[in-house]
Amino acid sequence: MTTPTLEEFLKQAGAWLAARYPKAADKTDRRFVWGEGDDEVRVFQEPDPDQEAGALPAIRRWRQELWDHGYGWISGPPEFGGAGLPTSYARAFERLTRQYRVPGDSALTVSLGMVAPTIGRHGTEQQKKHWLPRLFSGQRIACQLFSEPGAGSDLAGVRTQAVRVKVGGDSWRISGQKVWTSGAHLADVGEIICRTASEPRHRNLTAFLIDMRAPGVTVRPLRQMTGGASFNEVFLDDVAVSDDRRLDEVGNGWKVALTTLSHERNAMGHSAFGGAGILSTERLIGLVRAMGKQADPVVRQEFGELLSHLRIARYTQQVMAAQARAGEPPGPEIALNKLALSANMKRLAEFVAAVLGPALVADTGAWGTYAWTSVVLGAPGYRLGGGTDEVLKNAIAQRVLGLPRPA
Amino acid sequence: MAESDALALSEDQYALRDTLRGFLADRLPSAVLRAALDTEVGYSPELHARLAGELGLTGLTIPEEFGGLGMSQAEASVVHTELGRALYPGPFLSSALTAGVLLAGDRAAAEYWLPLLADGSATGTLAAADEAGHWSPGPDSVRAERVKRAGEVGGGWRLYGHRWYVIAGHVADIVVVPAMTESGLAMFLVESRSLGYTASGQLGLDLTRRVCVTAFDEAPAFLLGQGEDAAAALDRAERDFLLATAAEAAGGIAWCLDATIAYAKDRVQFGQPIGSFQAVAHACVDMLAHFQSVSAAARYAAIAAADGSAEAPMAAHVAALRAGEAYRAVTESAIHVFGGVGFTWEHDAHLYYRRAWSAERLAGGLQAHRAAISDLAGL
Repeated sequence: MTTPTLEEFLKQAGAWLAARYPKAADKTDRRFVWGEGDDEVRVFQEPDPDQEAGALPAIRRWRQELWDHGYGWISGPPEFGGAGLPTSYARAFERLTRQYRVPGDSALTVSLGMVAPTIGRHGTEQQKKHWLPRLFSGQRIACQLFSEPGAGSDLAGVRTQAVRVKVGGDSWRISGQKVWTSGAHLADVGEIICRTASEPRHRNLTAFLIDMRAPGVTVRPLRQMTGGASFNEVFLDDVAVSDDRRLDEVGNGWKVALTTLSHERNAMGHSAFGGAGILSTERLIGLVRAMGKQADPVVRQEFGELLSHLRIARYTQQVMAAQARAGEPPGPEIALNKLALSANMKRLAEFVAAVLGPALVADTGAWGTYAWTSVVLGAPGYRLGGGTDEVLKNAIAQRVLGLPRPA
Repeated sequence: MAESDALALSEDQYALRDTLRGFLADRLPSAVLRAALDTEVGYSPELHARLAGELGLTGLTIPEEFGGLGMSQAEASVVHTELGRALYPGPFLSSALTAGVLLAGDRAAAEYWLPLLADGSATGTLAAADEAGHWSPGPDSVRAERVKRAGEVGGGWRLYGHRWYVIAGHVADIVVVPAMTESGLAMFLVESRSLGYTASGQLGLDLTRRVCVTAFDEAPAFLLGQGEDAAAALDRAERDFLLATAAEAAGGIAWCLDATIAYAKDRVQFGQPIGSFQAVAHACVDMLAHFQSVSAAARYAAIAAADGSAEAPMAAHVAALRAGEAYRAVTESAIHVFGGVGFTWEHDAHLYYRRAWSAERLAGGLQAHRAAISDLAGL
C-alpha cells in the first residue's frame, strides 16, 4: 500500500470526522465575556470522580471508532495495529480533531502518552501484541502506580513488595501502598514499580502490569488541599500477578520507570508550556475592570509584568513547535516549560490576590471574584506534580547542562 | 503567525550565525576587545571594515537597490545575537537604526547615504532621547527652524537643542534627529562634520558601547520626512532598537551561561566541582531558563516584525521587558558563581553586567515596557 500524501490523508480524515462529529463552535464565538456563564477558573484540572466515570463510555466509543478506521494509532507500527504513518500525520490529525466536538483523549494522557510507549519500549512481542491494540482502541485504560507515601522524589526507594511464587505456575504476590495515582478509579490496568530485592539500589526494582480490578486492589480518592479529588490512593494486599505481566527483566524496573517518567515530563512540558493557554487576557482585563483598578498605575505595572510571562510562554511554545516541524524536537530541556508553568501560577495567584483585595477571602456571590481562590489554592500543587521543581532542576542540570551529580 | 515556520532558524540563518560566531571568536577574543576599548574611539575600525567588507553585515537589512543584502529582521536578529554574545563595540546597531529611518524618508537622501552605510564607508546614529530617556516629542525636543536663504540644500533647516544617550555619537558620520517644526514632528539628517553639531563622549557604564550627549546649535539639517511619516519612522526605529536589544541580550546570556557552566564543572571546592552542589546547579538551570525564554522571545518578536503581524508591537515590548530583567539577573548570577574572580576587573563578567544594566536603561526601562504592554493589551 502506498503512503497517502499529508493532504490526501487530511482530506480523508476530515471527511471521516465530519460524517461522525459536529463541528466545534468557532473560536470567535467562544470569546470570553465578563459576567457570562460559569465563572469557574479552570486552571487546575479537578474533574469530579463520578462525572469522570460517567464520561468514560463515550471516550471508549471514540477510541474504538478511531481504531476501527485506522486513526487510533496513526504513527504506530502496523504489526501492532498502528497505521505506520509519520508522526507529522498524527500531529496533523490531532490538530484536525480540535475542529470537531469529539470526546477527546485528555482522560487518556497516562494510558496513551506514558504507559503505552513504555510497553512499546520494554514489552515482549507478545505483550506488545496484547496490550497496545487494547490501549489505543480504548478497550483497556492504564494508570501509573509509582509514588508511595515513603517514596516521592526518591522514587527508587519504593517499598511495595513483589514476591515470586512458583507454586502452580509462575506468579508474583504484590503488597504495599501507592499514592497520587491519577485515574486509578477509571483504569483497567496499572503499570506498577515494585521492590523485588533488598539491593542494590536501582537494580532491585521490577515493573508489572497489574489488573486494577483484581482481588486485593483497593482504590480510594485522595482529597487534596483545594478540596477536589483528582488523584487516588491505591492499596495492594497480596495481589496475584502472573509472570507474563512482568515488564522487562527482573531488576530492570528502574529503567522502565525512567522511560515512563521521561514521557510524563515530555507530556507535561508540551501541555504545560509555562501556562501559555491557561486563561484569556480578556478574563484578566475583565477582572481588573470589575474591581475598578484599571487606572491604578501599580496594578498596570503588575499586569504588564504578569502578561509578559504568559506571552513568553506562548512565544516559546510556538518557537519550539516550529523547531520541531523543522526536524529539531526539544530534548530534556522541555522540562523548563513545567518550571515556567509553576512559576506563572504563583505569579497569577499573587496578581489576582492584589487585584481582588478582600474579595478573595469571602464568597460574596459577585461573579468572577471568589472563583480565583482555585488558583491560589492550586498553585503549590503545580510545584510538586510531575516531579518537584527541585527534582526537575537536578535532572536538567545533569542531563542538559552536563553538571556533575552531587557527591 | 502562530504556525509560522520562520520561527525556526533556516539553514541560511544557521550558516550566518556560525560564520559570524567563528569570525568574532577569531578576531575579537577578550584581549583584542579590551585593547580596542582602550583606544580613543573604543572599537577597531579595521575590524568594523572587515565586518562590512568580508561579511557584508553593515548592509544586511538595506535593500539591494541601495547596495545592501535586502534581508529582514529575522536575519538581523541572528546578527544582533552574535554581536551581543561577543560584546561587539563597533557602531553596528546605531548604523542599522539610521538605515531604517533613511529607508522611510526622503528618496534622495536614501539614494546618497544608504549605499555608504551598506558598504561601511559611513556610520550613522539616531539621536532621539531626551534627558529622561524618552523618545517621544516633549517640551525639550530639538527645535527645527527654516531659514529663508536662496540655494540652501534640503530646504535650509537649522536645529537647536540637545539629545542624550546617543550611541556611537562620537564616531557617526550622520545623525538622524526627530525635531519639532512649527507644523509638528519631523525627521532630519545632520552631518556630524557640520558646524553647530557637537557630540561629547561621556564616562559610561557600558565600556563596550559609548554614548554621547549631542548638541545642535544652529546645525544645518536635511528634512527626511514629517508628520505621520516621521512619527511612524520614529516608532519603527524604537521597535527595531527593542528587537536588537533583546537579541543582544540573548547572545550575552548565552555567553554567561556557557562560561558559568564550564567554570562550575571545573572549579573545585570542598573536594568536589561546585556544579555538583545543588544551589549552584539550580542557579545554572535558572540561567538556562532565562536563555531559552529570551531567545524565543527575541526570535518571535523579530519574526512578528518581519511578517508585519499585529502582535509585533506587543512582542517587542514583551521581549525587551523579559530580556532586560533576565540579562541583569543572569550576569549577576554569573558573577556570583565565579565568586571572587568574577568581581575582578580582569574577568569579562563585569563587561556583560555593565552591558545588561546599560541596555535595559537605554531601551526605555522595565516600567515603560510594563506600561506599554498594559496599554497594548487594552487594559
